[in-house]
Amino acid sequence: MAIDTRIEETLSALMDGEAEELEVRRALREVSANSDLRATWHRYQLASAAMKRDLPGGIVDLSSRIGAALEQEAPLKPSLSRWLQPLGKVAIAASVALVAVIGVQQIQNAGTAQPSAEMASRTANDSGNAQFQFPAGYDLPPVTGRTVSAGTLGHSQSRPTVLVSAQPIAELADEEALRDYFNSMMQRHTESAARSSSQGLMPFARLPQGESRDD
Amino acid sequence: MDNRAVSPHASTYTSLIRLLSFLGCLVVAAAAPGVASAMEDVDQARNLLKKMAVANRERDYQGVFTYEHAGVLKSIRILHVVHDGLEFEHLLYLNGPHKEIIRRGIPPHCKRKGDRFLSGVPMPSRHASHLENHYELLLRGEDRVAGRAVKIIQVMPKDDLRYGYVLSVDKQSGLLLQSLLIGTNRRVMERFQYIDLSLEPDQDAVDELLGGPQTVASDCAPGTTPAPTSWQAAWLPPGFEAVESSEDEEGNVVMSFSDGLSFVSVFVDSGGVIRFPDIQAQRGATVAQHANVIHDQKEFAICVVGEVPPETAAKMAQFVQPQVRR
Repeated sequence: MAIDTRIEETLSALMDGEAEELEVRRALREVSANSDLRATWHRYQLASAAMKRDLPGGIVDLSSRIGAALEQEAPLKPSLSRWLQPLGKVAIAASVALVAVIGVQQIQNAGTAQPSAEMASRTANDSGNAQFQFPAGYDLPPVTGRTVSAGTLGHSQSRPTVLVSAQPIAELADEEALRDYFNSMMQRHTESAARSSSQGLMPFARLPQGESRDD
Repeated sequence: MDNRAVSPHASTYTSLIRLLSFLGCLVVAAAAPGVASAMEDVDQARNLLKKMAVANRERDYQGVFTYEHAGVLKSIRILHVVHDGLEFEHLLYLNGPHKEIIRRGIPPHCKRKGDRFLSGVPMPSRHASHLENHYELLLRGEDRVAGRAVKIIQVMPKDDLRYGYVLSVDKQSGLLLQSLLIGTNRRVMERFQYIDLSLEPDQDAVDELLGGPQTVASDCAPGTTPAPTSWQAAWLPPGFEAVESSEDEEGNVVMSFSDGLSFVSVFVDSGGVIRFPDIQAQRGATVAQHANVIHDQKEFAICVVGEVPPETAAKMAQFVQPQVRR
């Protein structure tokens, strides 16, 4: 079983053109002796062909119809699980990259807005709609239209911090300690940068609120 | 100076070529008047930036500006007064918990490093670098911000190592009224914008600010050369210069770097190292890259923080090294 799994991995790598020669030889040897593995290889090829819309005749291609059906589907409001799911898959597949979203909000006022929703709205807004106008010919993307609801206005200190780590979340240190650490680092940076800025006093606005440090 | 005399022409032509391709203009003859106006535009943009660098320090002004990023909107009331050659500033945060920043009696030599850069004075370093070596300046016409006429300058980075800016400068005073930070995917990452500005501050507010006890700007050393530290940033994005550095008795090092518009801080923490894995955090346009380094069997925590693309911060953190002793 363990051998099969390893060979399957090799086959998968082979599909992506990333298998090593030695592995390929072993895989070929195993495949020729094992009908289950041959079936696996067949499935991989089919999947690949389907993705490239290159299916041999006799096999019904549903992808275009499914695609069309999906187009017509009303967009769902992304829920927490919908956003976590793809991340989970990536983590299992690659076991390396991992993204965690830590919102101050989540801890301080749970339920007001989920960090995933924040992230989702930010991602969704990448395509953005115009929020204000530039003179004609202005070569800029429209500013992303973010809805600032009355609910979040009152908690403006709750700014999501996106953490990216090369290690699985289980090995990450205490989230709160991490957040405090990054908050203090960002504050120190902002204070010194705002003082050196060429943009007047405006960068002082980047200072996180809550900690009052007058001088 | 030679440097500056050459680069504007070069950038003028690139911007011209860009302009032509945008318009789909195929007639070469039409380029002749274009050259002159594009050159004037760059000159004008450069002069506006210089004017801006001076104005935000030398003008009296009072107003309210907003700061927006990632769905968060904050507003801040500001008062800036120059009295007897000294600067007085008061910032009051209008959202959330009460917070204000008051700085009284900032001496002229405490000029902001960025201003010094923009006003044409090269940074204190071996190689004088200029904004236009790394950014392209484009004049983007006029608009109105906070009810005032502004000229818009687009500052586009020539590489992927830094962000771009769109700056709206008040025509009358030269004050910066709006600043957009443009990410690498051409997305606006944050926005500062005045919603109200007066060049004649309220006399009562001015008296109150001037009347208070003077605060000493401790972070303002008259020297222009950053002090040497036991750590160095062996890799910097081109055009970035050390603007400040300090080291305490425990060997904690703080260094800051700038290319005139973007700022990056490097912190090296020597003692009581918190054991975090190498990790990156992002908030708005600010990115922080944490990394652990072992040197002389001692653990150091390195943190690079700045308004730069995450890749830039990660690479900088990778090259923060102990200074080679001679």
